[in-house]
Amino acid sequence: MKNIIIIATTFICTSAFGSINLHTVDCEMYAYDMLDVIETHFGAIEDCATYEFTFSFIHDFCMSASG
Amino acid sequence: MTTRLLMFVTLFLFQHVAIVAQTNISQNKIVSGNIEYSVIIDGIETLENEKDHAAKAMLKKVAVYMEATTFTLLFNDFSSIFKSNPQAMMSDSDNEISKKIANAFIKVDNIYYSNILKNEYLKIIEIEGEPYIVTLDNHNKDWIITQEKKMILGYECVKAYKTITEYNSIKNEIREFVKQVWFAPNIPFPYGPAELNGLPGVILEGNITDKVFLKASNINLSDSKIEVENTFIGKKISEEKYKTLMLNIKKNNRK
Repeated sequence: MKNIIIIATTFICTSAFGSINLHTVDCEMYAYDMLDVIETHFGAIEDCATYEFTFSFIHDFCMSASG
Repeated sequence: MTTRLLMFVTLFLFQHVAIVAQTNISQNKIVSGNIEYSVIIDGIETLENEKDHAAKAMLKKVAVYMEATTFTLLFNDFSSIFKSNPQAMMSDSDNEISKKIANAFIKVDNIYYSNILKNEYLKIIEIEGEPYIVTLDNHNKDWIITQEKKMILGYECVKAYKTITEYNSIKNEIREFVKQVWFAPNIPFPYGPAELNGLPGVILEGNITDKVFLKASNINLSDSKIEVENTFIGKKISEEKYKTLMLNIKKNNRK
């Protein structure tokens, strides 16, 4: 859970201040953590395809933000 | 005296006509319908307790996108189609990830078609830019109908549920979910939102997850027939092949 706080905070900095080097970000861990937060608030995602898509979106978002 | 009598007779006739009309449209004469569904997020206020501020901000946007989306179920006596209505544009590019998550969560891009005469249940979906028509197995035989009732938009609805299991390949675990719906016996057609159907009345509320629901927000029933579009373009695949395809895409993406 600590990961998500640090990484997500860094994303805000990225969008606000342009490029920050995020090569060390573990995007897979970030996506897992974010999915846990999503499921906490919106309920467990039933079908695998939706889970996969959501995981991919977050993972891709992380990858693009980390440059 | 004559005026009062005339008023009484007029009122009586008006009430009688209204009751007859309602009875006809709600029981025997319905041949088609158009039902709009909204997305309801139960316990959305718990988002305020989220300690991760960045995640909270993102999820609030996800919730906004979800709640701004509506769907329409169009049906006649033998077929139905369920799809999303055009979304209000929110063009802020920072919101794009939120929109993608919201759209995936409530399956905005999916179209569901059923034909009860042919026992045909289809999901029209785009996978990596290619249109597919997935022939769904009829999973809707295992409903348990309860005695619980509640009113939705003036229709008495009965609660039904079933338990389904799904293997989650990312978590590598079998997960169990309870599908809970409320159907209206006075709208006697076996249709519903998304993949939910197969009950003796249209489903007016059904859950996507245990916290996100599709609930009827507007019901228009008609005694005249409407056409339900069934001209879909795409590669036809079985549900089994669809799952294999999705699994392969995931494997390729992770390489």
